[in-house]
Amino acid sequence: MSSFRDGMCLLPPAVRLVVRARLVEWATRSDIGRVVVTNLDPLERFLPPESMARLLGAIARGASGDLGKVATAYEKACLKQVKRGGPVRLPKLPPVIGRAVERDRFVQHLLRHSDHFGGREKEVQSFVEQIILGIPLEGSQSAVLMSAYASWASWDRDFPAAPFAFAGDSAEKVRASMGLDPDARCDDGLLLLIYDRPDKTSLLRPTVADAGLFLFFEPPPVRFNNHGLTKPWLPGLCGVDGYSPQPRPEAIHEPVEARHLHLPVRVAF
Amino acid sequence: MLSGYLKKLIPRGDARRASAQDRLLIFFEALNERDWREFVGDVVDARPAAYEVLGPGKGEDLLAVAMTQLRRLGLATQRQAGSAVQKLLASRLLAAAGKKGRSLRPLHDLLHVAGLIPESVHPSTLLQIVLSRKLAGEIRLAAAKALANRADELPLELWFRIEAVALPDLPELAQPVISGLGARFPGEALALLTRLETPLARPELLESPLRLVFRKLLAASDGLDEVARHLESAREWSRHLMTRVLQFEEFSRTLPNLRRADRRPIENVVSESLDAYRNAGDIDHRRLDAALALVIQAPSIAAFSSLLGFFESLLIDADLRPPPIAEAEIDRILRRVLESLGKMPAVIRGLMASSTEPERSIWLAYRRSLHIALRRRSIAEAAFDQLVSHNFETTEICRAVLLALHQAHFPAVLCRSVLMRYMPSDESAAIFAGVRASLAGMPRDLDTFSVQAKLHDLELPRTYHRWAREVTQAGVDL
Repeated sequence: MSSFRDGMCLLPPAVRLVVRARLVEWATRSDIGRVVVTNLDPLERFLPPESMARLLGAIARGASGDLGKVATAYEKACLKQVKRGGPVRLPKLPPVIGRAVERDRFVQHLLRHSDHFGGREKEVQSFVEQIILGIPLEGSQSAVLMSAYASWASWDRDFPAAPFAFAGDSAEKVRASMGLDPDARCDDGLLLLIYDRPDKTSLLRPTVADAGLFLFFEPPPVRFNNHGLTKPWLPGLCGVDGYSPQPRPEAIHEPVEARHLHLPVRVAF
Repeated sequence: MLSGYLKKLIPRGDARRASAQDRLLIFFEALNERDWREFVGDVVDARPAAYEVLGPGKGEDLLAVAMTQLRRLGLATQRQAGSAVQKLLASRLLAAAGKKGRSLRPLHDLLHVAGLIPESVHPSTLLQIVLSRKLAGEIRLAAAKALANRADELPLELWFRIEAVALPDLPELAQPVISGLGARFPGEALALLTRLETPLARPELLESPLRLVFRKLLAASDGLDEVARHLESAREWSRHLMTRVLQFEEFSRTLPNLRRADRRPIENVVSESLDAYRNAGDIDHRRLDAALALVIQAPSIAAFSSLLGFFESLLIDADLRPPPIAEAEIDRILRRVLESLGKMPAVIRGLMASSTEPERSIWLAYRRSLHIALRRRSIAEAAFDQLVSHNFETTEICRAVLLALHQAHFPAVLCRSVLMRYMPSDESAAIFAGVRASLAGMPRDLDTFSVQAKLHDLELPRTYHRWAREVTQAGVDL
């Protein structure tokens, strides 16, 4: 079953031809295009055909020869089709999940999206320091959202309370296995946000629409339909000798409040 | 067409020439001002060219990623980027003027960048945006946040101007203004808060700036007095907010020293503790401890009355209906509260001597609650101790002894040891004589017998000692 094939069937034949042409052009002329097109066809299977048809329609509508506009149209269409990959298929959802994020990026996220802080970076830095030191959250701090949009989280079936147990204390191993952006490596460390999954928060399988123009995403291999899997770094990119990063389970969920965090938050270096 | 600056980007696959992280640093160093303007424009407009450069990870925000990369650059490169931001902002503001329905997000994001890159947009430009009533509130707020982020370089007058001109029509500005002002002038930030008449729609947004303000103020030698002064002059809503922040863990050691603070916060803490106990069956021990410490440090009739009300409510719950928390837990809390009440002798003496209201009623309530407290084994001794130690009249003490001895768990020997702690033996003997006389007039039921038996036991050692003395004396005589 391929979302792409089913989605194409919903489009008029003339549009299908345009879609094919644009995809070839996009895949051959840009890094992002190459990744997105491979994911669209043939890897994506969780996205409903109707949603896929909308993404492909957006690509077809993008101006010919202007890949920037194609990508913009695709990105906008993706935003309207997020969180449609269906629920994670596990007999019991993990009660504890985790997300790894570079410390400076987490600070920037809070600065930009959390209205809890008065705009001063120092306030945000103080908050981040607080959760690392394990000082309990008080007042409205506990309602700070840890992500702006859907969060990408992972878990460990063998160590339910420690989603990053596989990496020990190595930030590089986490980055490599979780498929984080290698350009983003931060000297201040990698925050391992581990938190209880709120009962009402369901885990969804990620799709190309959730990934948008992000490079480090790939739908799981054929016949693996339970949940998403991370796209680990290629061998050689990881700075830890002899470490061969393996895909980790992956899902997305609604933004979660900081009150669910396990304190202190660990920082891996 | 793809953006021109992309030509300067080293392809990702070419990692042999440059490590992944260096790839971006080399790229940014190579940009001229025109490239910067184009790049920043693409970032705030979320154009694919910016994605191509930054390649944000899953769930990451393009602007946040851009800012982390920009903050890693050298100061000279950041200044170049800042100059581009200034020009871009000017042109975007012009374009935005008079065009309704256009998305304000890019302009908002540009101001966000302006706040984080040093020497980008002039503070005067940002001030103009904040003060301009023609612009959307969202944009003015973003400009104020940018100013707050650069507060270290701004004069006090700038904030006063915002307060006078912009705050009345856009109260949401209070958050960045207090945040920015607090960076250099924490006392002024508190003063501004106390001047705000209308409660904010979301006062909790001031918690974070206030935390930093208090942290800064309380580090100074006269900070406590200043906080106390502002608490006194604050309006109801801002006082409540300030109290809430002062109850945070990090201030718990400082709060008890707040001698001049208004008593109102203590009542708030006590009533909030009671509400939490009633509603959720939970007691916030940290807050309660802070309140108890504050009551002891700065005793007053109002504080005593508030704490007494709390004590009575807990007693009634413990006595009449199953308390929502464990028995052992409620015993511990009762003991702590009772001890705190007992540590205000001057207030108690004032209440006892007063014949006017409400002091008289508070006094009677205190005495009544101590009598009830005698029924609980865990606090009976402490309650009896207070009944005796606060110099009640002899008849009152007799009544207390009688009540105590009526409790199965209260031994007569304990009664005597407490009495002897505060009065000479002849006075305590007189008290016991008074108790015996009272017993004689009571109906002869099981309770009365029980008290008499306890008193008899109390007398036994004395009889035994007398007998032993006589025997010894007889032996000596022989």
